[in-house]
Amino acid sequence: MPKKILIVDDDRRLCQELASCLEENGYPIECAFDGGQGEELLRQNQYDIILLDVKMPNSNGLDVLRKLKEIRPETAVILITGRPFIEQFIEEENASSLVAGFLKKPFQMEKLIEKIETQ
Amino acid sequence: MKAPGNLSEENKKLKARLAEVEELLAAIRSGAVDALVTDDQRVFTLESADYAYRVFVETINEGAATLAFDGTVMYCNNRLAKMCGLAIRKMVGGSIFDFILPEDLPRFKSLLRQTRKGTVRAEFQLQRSNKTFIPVLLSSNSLKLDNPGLCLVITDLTEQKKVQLELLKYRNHLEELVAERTNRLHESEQRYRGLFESSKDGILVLDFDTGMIIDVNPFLAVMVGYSRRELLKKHIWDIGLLKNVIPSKASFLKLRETQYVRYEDMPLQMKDGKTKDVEFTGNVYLLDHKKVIQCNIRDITVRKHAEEILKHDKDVFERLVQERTKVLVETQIELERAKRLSDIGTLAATVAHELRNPLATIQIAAHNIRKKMSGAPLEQHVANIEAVIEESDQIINNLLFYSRIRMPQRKVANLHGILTECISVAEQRFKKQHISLIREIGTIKELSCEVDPLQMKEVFSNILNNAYEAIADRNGTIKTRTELCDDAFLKISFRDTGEGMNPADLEKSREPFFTTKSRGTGLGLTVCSQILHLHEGTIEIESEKGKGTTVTIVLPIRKKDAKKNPDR
Repeated sequence: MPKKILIVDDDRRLCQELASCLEENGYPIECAFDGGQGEELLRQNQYDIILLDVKMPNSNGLDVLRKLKEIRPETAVILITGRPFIEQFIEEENASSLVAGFLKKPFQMEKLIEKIETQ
Repeated sequence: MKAPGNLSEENKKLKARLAEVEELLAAIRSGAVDALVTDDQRVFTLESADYAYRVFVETINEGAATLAFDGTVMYCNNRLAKMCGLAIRKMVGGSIFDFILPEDLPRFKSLLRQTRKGTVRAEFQLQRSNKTFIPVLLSSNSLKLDNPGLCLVITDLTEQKKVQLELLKYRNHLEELVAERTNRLHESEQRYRGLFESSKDGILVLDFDTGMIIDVNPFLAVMVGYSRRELLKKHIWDIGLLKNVIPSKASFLKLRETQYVRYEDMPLQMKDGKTKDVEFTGNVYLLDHKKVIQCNIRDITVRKHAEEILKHDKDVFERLVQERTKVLVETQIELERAKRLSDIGTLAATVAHELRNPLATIQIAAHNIRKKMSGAPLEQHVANIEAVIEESDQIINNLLFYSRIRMPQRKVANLHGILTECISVAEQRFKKQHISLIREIGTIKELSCEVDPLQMKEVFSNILNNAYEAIADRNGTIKTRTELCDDAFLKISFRDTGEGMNPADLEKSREPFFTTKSRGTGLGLTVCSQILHLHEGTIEIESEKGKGTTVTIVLPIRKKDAKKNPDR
């Protein structure tokens, strides 16, 4: 049974390419283009994995992460981010326990699929 | 011889003449005659005979009187009456004793008695009728008359006494003045002597004419080690004290002409032959109407020493100031760079995020194309897209690292592990190049060290990327070598057989934004230098154009961090 995935990213083109690739690999995909939409979808549906973009430093992307984890703590979240120094950021924010892993943009799809599969 | 007849005739004549004279005398005594007519018809009166004396007595400035021995005034002139303050008629018949002070009376009476023997003079106070006094000089003479008495001449001494008093006052004043001046002179002399004796400068007084030492103060004697006696009465050039100023009589004579001489710093020869640095001043002045030369000699050893210390301190301070200024300038440059970096940092973080999103989209899109395309024609294009995405990502990484280098987050890490991981990533990345990678790990198989693993990874990746890019499409080797030096340093070198750098480029290689690559930020080596600096390490680059480059990193390790395990 392929894992059901929710993508939360405000970059619509990226969502489109990412969804296309993952669907091609057999995963059922839904996309949300902001945090609010993501929360709404998460309340209505159950997902195995959430791919979440961490926003720019001035809008703390971890707020969305915390809210999503509040709604469904059991859902694994993989951060996909272009944010610099994401490792230190997660550590500093004490968010290590909330994430299942992260990938720095740009990333190779093989690595993402590997991460999804190991969840 | 005369005949007796003649003689008796002559005797008769003489007797007649005698009778005539006796008659005249009796007449004169009785007052019956007051004039005589001589045979030649000349008339003589008694009045006329003492007239001149009367005028004289009445006009002289002296008081005059005739007295009986009991002091009764027989006669008194006008002047005396005035002196006594009474009319003549009241004076005559009165006693002269009324005008003598009671306490002077015995002396006065004694004077009168002495007068019988001759002239007597004495000073008295004349008591006037109004009870005032005038000083007088009395001259007394006895009068040998039928009624014997005294003649008294009284000189008013008031003016004379006044003058005498004035003179006396003036004399006293002069004496006082002289005493005061003498006193002052004495004090001044004492003061000068005191200064001379106690002065902490040496003082030497020379005779202007002969150059002989005529005085020397105790301080100078002690200073030069001679006794006062040894110095006095000697010629200055014989002693040799001032060998440099007055070595001979000739030089003394020459110095004399200048009147004033001053040496800030000259050697003074002491008795034991040693010299002392002194300040010397020679001055000519008058002492007891005689020219002398005073030499003041000040020991400046301490002052010179202090000056040397001051100079030394000044040099030290100047050097310190220079050093501090250098540090300040460096800090300023550092700060300016930090500010620039901070600006770059904000920009870089923004750009990184903004670029990584589209790069991610491109990369996934390329992936999708590759999956969906059929046939080889598109393969090369997709590969190019993927390659430049990776390059772009590396540029963004460098930019971010350079702008956000911060204090290392040290943790115990296995440096060999980090190095191995970086080598693997690089090999994977550059797998299409014909490069053989040789690892020389020596005796150290595992090295745990307190470093920031992310920063170290950045350093190794940058150096390896540079090495791969230097060889590019040619065949070549990259040799990495690690060794432990003195158990204190870890040396890691990366040697490539790439194109190398010329000396000018080598010199600039660590400057930010310097690059010889067509695509690059020129930040790679700057980032490495910064990170190693923060780890108290160094990075050395040797390069030769056409032959290759060797980059050597030296990292200090605390001994407890080092785990040597040659058996593994």
